[in-house]
Amino acid sequence: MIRIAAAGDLHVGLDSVGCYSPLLAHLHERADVLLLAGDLTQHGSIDEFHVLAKELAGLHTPVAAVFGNHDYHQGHETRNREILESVGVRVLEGEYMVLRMGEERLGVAGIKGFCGGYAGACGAEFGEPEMKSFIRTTKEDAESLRIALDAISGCDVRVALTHYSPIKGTLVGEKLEIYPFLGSYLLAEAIDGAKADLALHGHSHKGTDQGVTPGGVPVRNVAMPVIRTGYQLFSFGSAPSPSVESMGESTG
Amino acid sequence: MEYGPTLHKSYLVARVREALAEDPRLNELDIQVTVAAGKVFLLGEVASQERRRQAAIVAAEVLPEGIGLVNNLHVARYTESSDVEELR
Repeated sequence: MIRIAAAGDLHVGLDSVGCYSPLLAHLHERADVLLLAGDLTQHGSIDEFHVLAKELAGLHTPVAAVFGNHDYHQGHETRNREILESVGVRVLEGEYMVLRMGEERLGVAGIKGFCGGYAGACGAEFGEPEMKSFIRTTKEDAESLRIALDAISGCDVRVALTHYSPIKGTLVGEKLEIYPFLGSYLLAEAIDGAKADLALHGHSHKGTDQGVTPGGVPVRNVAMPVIRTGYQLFSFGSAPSPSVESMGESTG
Repeated sequence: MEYGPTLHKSYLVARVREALAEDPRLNELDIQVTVAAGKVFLLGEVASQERRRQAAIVAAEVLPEGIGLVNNLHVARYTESSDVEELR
């Protein structure tokens, strides 16, 4: 059995010392991996990432994370990644991780992703340089996700981990006007192309927990304000404890 | 209702939301702001008492004189974990 715990939108601040770690007390008994879907911190500051690292230090469960928009706010992504890696957290920015669990392999392809909207009501790479740059960013992120998913195609279970949502279905509850700022269908197209087994995202605090891509891949919004727990649990099939086998970076 | 020569109700909501999102003391993007009965209401959830307190400070700083503020924000509470969803 492959057991996955997932949460997003922790929004850890300097006022969060000791707030998240108690929720992880029994994680190692319940899950083989913890996946974090971005907005790990409130302001993206180095000090906040040190607080987060302490909350996650010493876990007996592998942890992988993508950043969210809040984590980019102060421009310290490189340093913040190092802080998380110092406590063993794998940060996936267009990269993948493979965990072996007995005879089975779990592949996780992760990227923050970006916005732009959903099929039929989305932005196009047209007009002003700023608009073209905006949509190009989404296209590049979707392509990075596609390449990372391709790299884990041989795994028994393949998970796409993003911050922004690949579908509208998990945004129900948000104001329609802000949908274009909550994600992009291009992420779903990459997920469907790879026939992933599960897509996890955060970002949408007022959204809903369950949805599905046009290709039938289950999508789960694991933002903590939605799941109301320290993490959501998912399971696939049957087998035991994990070891990190390989990591890599897509070049999209 | 008008809130001064140039500040209509909808602009007041926008100004408060902008402050809550962009003020470096807070950076909260999901607080609902509503104007009713001549007052500004802050609605929704934040992660801590400190952020709840800070939200009221930030909002009050951009309100025109004489406009009241009602802080109905509550602090999020989370349990440890969910039941397991079996996907395959």
